[in-house]
Amino acid sequence: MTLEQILEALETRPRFAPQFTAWRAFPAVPATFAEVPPGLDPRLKAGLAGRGIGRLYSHQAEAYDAVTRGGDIVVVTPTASGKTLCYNLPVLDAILKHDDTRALYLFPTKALSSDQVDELHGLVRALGVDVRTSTYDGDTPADARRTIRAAGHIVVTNPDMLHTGILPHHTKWLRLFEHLRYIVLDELHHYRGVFGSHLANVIRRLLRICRFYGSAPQFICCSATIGNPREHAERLIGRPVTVIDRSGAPSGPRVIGLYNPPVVNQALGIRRDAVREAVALAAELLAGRVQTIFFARSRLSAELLTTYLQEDARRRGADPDAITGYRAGYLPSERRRIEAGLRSGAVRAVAATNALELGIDIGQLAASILVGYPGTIASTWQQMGRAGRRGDLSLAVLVGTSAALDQFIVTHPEYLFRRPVEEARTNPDNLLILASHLKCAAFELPMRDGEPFGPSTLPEILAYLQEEHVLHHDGDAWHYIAEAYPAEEISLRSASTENVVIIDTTDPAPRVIGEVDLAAAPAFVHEDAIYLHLGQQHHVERLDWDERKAFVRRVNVDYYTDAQIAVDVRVLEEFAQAAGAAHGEVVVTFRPTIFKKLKFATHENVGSGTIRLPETTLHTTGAWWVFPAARTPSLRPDELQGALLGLAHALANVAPLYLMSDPRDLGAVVEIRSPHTGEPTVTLFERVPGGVGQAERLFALGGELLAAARALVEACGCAEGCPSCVGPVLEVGPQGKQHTLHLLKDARVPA
Amino acid sequence: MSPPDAPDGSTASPTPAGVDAGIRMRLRRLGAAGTARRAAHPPGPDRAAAPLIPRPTPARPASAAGDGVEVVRARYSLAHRHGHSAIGESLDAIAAHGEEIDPGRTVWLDTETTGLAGGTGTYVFLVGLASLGEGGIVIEQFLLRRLSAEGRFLAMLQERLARARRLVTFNGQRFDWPLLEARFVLARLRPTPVDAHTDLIHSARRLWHRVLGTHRLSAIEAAVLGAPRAGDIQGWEIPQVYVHYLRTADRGALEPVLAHNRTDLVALLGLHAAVARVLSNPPGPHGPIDWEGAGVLLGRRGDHAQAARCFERALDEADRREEWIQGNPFDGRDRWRILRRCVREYRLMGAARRVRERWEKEVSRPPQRDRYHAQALMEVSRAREAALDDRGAGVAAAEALAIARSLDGSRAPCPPLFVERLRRRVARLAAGGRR
Repeated sequence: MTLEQILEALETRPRFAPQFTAWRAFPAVPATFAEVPPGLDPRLKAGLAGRGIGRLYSHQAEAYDAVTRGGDIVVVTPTASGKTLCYNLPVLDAILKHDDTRALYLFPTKALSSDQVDELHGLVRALGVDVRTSTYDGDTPADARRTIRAAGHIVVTNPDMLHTGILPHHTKWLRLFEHLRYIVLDELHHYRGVFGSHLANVIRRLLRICRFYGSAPQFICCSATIGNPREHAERLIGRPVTVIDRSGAPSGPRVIGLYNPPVVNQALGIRRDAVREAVALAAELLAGRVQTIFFARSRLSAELLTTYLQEDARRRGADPDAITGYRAGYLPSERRRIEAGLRSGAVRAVAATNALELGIDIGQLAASILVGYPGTIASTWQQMGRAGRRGDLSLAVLVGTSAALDQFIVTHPEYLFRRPVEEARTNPDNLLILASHLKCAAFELPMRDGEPFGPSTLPEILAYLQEEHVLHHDGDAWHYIAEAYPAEEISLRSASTENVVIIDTTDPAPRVIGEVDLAAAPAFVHEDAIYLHLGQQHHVERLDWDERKAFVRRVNVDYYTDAQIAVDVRVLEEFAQAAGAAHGEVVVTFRPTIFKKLKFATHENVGSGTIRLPETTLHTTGAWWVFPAARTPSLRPDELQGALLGLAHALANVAPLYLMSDPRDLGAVVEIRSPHTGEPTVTLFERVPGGVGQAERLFALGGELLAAARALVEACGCAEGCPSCVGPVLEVGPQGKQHTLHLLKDARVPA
Repeated sequence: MSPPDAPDGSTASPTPAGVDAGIRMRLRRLGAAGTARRAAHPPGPDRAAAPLIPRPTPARPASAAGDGVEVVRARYSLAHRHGHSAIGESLDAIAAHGEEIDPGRTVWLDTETTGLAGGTGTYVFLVGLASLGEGGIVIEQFLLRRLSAEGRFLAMLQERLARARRLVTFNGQRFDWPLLEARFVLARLRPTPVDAHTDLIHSARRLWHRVLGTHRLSAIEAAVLGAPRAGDIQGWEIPQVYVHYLRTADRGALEPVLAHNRTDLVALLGLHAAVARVLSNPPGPHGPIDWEGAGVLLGRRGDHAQAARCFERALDEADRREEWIQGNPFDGRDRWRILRRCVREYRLMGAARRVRERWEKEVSRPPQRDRYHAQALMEVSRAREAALDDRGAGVAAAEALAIARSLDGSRAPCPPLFVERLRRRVARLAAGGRR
């Protein structure tokens, strides 16, 4: 069967057709070409022609022109639109014209850089010129490092290495910094939240060092589609950019479907397992030899999918080895083999996690099946974009799970199809992150009085660091005088530096099996907790709080533990308020109290214990909504409490739709009478110390967020409340769902 | 497990404290200083915690620091003793070893820094230079009194070093010099290149690490030079003392650091002489010496006869003493390594007879019947064959093969390739024919 026939079958067959909540067909888009720029070095022009490139896509030519004119650019294009040429072209051109030219390529991860480097190497080899490209990362051998520092034209690295390995030793990189002309930031959409806030500061440091050596590099940024590419790029690099977002690459006709598995338990709102449904849906595709990629949200579901798909292949008499998994944890060589298999067609189906999301070259497949909503509209489009051969028909299906966000998306297709993709938020001026990088900056070069580095509060931070014996002011500059190497204790990937290490002591040789954030430790690894790791239960024998170590033992019990943590929020400063909402700086206190042992399935309470751990506090930003008690006179205090809890649950569930964040990035607190507002209040706070700008965004959304929460609760098929909308009945009370809606109606949500 | 957001609306929240927007308060609450302030090294067991660090006092400008660079000069006469030797004797020993000490051109260098981590944020605040002059040695110490004066400090240093052609340091190739180079780049200066940089740490490691269990300068000073330090400031305290000085302008606090640096330089000279003595007159007398290390150093200098003598001595000593130092037993592998090194020196001398004697002597020791004994017998067989003693060669090879076979399946068997070569050798020699 051809893909056309399979689509027709899916659309009409009673087993599947009723479950599709959306089925949209999009026409093909032809390519827009532009001539190869006349100013391009003739060797480069010939090299392109040798690779069969006689014309450029319009965005590639536009990027070349904009870079040649000077100034910084951000190129925003969909998957597989030839974006690497947008930076390789101007960079190679400049190197061919001036051998002194140096460029720095930054990729968020090693895996993402390796493909781009391979492609660059291929192009350089085809040109037959001496352009030296070197990867400088944790794997680079010590003896090769010296050569790279002295002689590489293009240095490929990641932000972490730039932060700890290159900038603090910039005198060894004299040649690079003196002649640095281009900084390429690929996969810009990765740099959001904490990571982006750190990167923006690393860039500030990088530009300081460039100024010292007298170079003034241009930025060439590339991003997948996000809602605010200009703002995001400008925040990261601190300068205005030219946005190039009209892709000239062609795309074939495509069909996108949203699929909701049938309900199996109406009361609990439980639907058929999405993994099984995806396998059933794909049976025809695989039988028709349609090359298909599956995206799972966890490693476990990727493995399950692989197993089921292989079983299915065996039943059909097809080759199960043509079906493979792909996730973090596979060896690099395995990954390369799978990628090559996908390109050649030897691999017919791959069940991947987002490890395969972007940047990695696997060519274009014919169908993409997303098992579960990936969490953001942006990643949904990226994963769906994996299907779509130029000119040929392709299919993308999102299979919803029972999770709240999934249900919302599949029952509200317009959110996916009409809404702009999420905006990437960063907060380079997060006090903690900024102060960390000021230390690093002063380590790299004394910080002159009045030297720009972010916001105007700088002198106060510098004075604080002097008080703490980290800096010393002398003459007209702040000098680093502490002994520790500051970059080492600052991880770009997290705001807090401390974790609790989890050690399995079941076997004679203890083994580290994981880590939890210090802030989350009281809830998950208190003594006698049952900690789940890769599906295995572990009993926490001992938690050494001072040493940050939890000692666990593998067990097999019929209960789980649920820690009760009393959360208090105190407003330190209100930044703004409007229409019953506000945002500002808050301090959140977590006080562990007791834990309950609950039986699986029945959730019956079979015991409890006290948690003896210190209170922890989190200084961060939050947004809060006030629901004056006078407007809901009919609700008793316990009902109001349930309504607020239900609303907090619903808000926390819909917030990721707008934030490009993970639901775990936010916490919620409800108060019957907030000491700050004096009224019933729901507060959402950021779990990142100091916040990365999410709370401000939540405030700005205001009524829109409440409307989305109401839509979520109203659309939910459950009777009295379920984890997909307001939370379990046990928490919100038997009428929690109605009361939550009552609260939202009374608050006069704008439609 | 539910997220930790269980409500606690019933209990009264703490009273809303006055809104505190002070950035410093917020930074303190966030713990923004990190652990940068913590001492990099824990205090030694025999010392009270940081006695030299007075309570922090509010920073004030180091106004007494003048233009920010101070040069401290000290002179040591030839008669000044450091442990067993006077400075004059040390200089003689260095000269006797054939090292040209061009008075104006050789500089012994040691620095003190604000940290050990390296990178551009580590300042060199004290550079001590020792050189010949004024009827003894002169030590000039360049002290950075204000961080803002670093440019001038480095320029003065550059001018002083411009006359130097040879640097002598302890670990300077990896630490002091790269750090100074980074400082020069940061100050937009280029240091005058020196023709030779002798870093004594390499010789010190070869000669003393195994016998002392360390090659730290202070340990060698005590055990070899006979000059244990007493009352000296500990290296790890120095950065903290300097930071204290920067914040208080308490110049007196730096005196122990300056004294430490001078003693380091005198010790460096003593170490230089001690190395020279061993290398110019290996038989001694010296204190404890790792003879293998001495042999390696001499061999590299092309003094094969002395090198071989040192290796022989290392083998003799190993026979008498089962261990080099506590917990470091001397085993067959060590002996094999020294033997190979020894024989290599004989070969480089062109002394085939010595090679053969060496191997013959080795197998005449009480038999060990281990793989190394088998390998030594193989070498004997080769040497005998080269000396046209085919019968003797056959006997040695057969004995080696017997040992090799007896070790088969044991925990330390002979390498299969070796056994195979041995088997062919035995067969060939038994057939009485050369290839």
